[in-house]
Amino acid sequence: MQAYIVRRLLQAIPVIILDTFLAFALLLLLPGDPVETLIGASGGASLDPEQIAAYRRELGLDKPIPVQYVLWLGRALHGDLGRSTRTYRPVTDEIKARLPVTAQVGAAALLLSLTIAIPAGVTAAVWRNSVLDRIVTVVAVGGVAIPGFFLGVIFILLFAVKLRWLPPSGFVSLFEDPMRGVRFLALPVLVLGWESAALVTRQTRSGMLEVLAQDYVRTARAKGLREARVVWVHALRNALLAVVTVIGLLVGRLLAGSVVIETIFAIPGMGRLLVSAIGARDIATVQAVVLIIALSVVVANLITDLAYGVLDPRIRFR
Amino acid sequence: MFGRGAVDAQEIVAGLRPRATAPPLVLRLLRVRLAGFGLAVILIVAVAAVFAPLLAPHDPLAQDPYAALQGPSRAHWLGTDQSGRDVLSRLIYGARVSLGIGLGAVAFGAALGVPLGLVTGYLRGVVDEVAMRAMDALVSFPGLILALALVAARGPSLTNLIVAIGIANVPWIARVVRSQVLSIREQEYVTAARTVGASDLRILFVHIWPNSTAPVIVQSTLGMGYAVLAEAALSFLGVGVRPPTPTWGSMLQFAFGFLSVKPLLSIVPGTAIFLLVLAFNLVGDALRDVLDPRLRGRL
Repeated sequence: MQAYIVRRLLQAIPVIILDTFLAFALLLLLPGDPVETLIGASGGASLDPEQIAAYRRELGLDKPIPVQYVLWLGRALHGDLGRSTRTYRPVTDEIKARLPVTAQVGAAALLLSLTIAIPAGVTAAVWRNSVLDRIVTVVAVGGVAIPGFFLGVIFILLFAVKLRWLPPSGFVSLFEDPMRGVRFLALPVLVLGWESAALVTRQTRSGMLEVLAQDYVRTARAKGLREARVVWVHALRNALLAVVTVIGLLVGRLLAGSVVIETIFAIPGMGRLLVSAIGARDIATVQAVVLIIALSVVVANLITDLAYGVLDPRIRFR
Repeated sequence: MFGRGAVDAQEIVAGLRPRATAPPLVLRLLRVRLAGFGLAVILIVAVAAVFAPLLAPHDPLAQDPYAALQGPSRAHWLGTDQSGRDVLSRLIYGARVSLGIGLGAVAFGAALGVPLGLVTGYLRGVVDEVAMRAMDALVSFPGLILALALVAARGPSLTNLIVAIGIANVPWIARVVRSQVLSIREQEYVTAARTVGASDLRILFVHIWPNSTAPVIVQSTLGMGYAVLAEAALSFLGVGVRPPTPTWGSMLQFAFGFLSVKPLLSIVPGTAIFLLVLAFNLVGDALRDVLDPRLRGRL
């Protein structure tokens, strides 16, 4: 097991380096002089060349690109992700305020999707080709195709505008005011969870179908276990391995989805920060958000693989 | 069991019968559940996109402040938006952006992914290892985030959007091509080609590539669904194709402000995006069933 963990950690290193380089490289993609964008020189008041040169030296932008990258990475590792060109505040401060919001919405959505999708997938697999299976399959296939921004619009229309059950937008932290927080979180979490639920349902169903055909399931039935025990204990535990493999993918989707969801529901999280930073061409903030999202996905994938190794010993020896 | 002679006899008999050819791909596709529906939707959208100037009842950009936010009528079948522009005409013209950027993005993904997959799968070794780790890093970037980041740096021109959306397709196409090449390169006919002195390039492009197209077609179709969705999302977030060009995503974005007054304005473009993405996913899944029988019957 130790060898497996070490090997997997080593494999993650090049991916992390490439991710950080991709985030850094956004600066190189900027048209024109990055310094002007970085200090947000507004059209009229241009800086004098000396100031620009000084700033360039300060940021190390006069050095070769590999050196620039190492310097940027070094600063990032010390928690310095530059300053926002909009607010002139350190980007790290902004992130600290936003990250918990996105984490709260994302975690709730992940939880919701697993709670709905696993029983749905199991039901579809056990009663394969039944009406129930058809319904689950159609909803799951449709669920992948329906854009989060459209589903959000429909839910707002239905639950906020027509029925007036829930507020159409806004955010209250669950930790500050749980009762109000739930009301504000309900719609965004439902929309965000929906997409992941579709994926998990498909994964659970195909995993269950595979496992239910195995010899040990027949053995379990043959020795007279109740069907419920066979399905929910013997089969599901092994079928869930197929679900575990997509958790890393889910985290990526949830983070991407949060960009759209936070915009629709006016939630002050990382996604909305990214969109507004793009609008303002605030590249330091864009780099920081992109970097944190990419690293979150890498970490999620790493945890997924390690969990998989724990759950399925065969993986460790491959 | 059967002697060699028996097999020969069977082959002779088979040779005498008219050769049983597989029915055309489209017919095999139509047998898969809902694939016909998907094909129909794609066909309708494609016709709308190609013949937009002939089909659209109005100029999609023509504003009429006196006819703003109207419901469906004889003159405007799907009503008008906040500037009095005809919604149906904008929907028809919007199909051009969705399909155009989708096709461009998939072509870009294939143009980079296919050669990458061919070369890494054929050469293996260090090149393969480095390229695949790079693909891992690219995959760990959620597609939409990557597209947003690239558009943020380069601006939302048509080319930039195609590259930004298409780049997410590269690792997926490279991976399927690579895995296909890895198995094909061990086939006997490849060994035979090598024995008669065919060059690496000839083996790669004449013998291996034609036999690895199936998964590329499947992946590209699914990639179209993703590209349509991503383009709509970028437009919705206001970082896609610039107004006044009508796109489904931007129609939805503008309609959002009038959701409580005119829900139809949101429902029309939203449904169009949903149906087109669903269509590509259904056809992609059906293609996988038809072209790759190993996966048949699984979701």
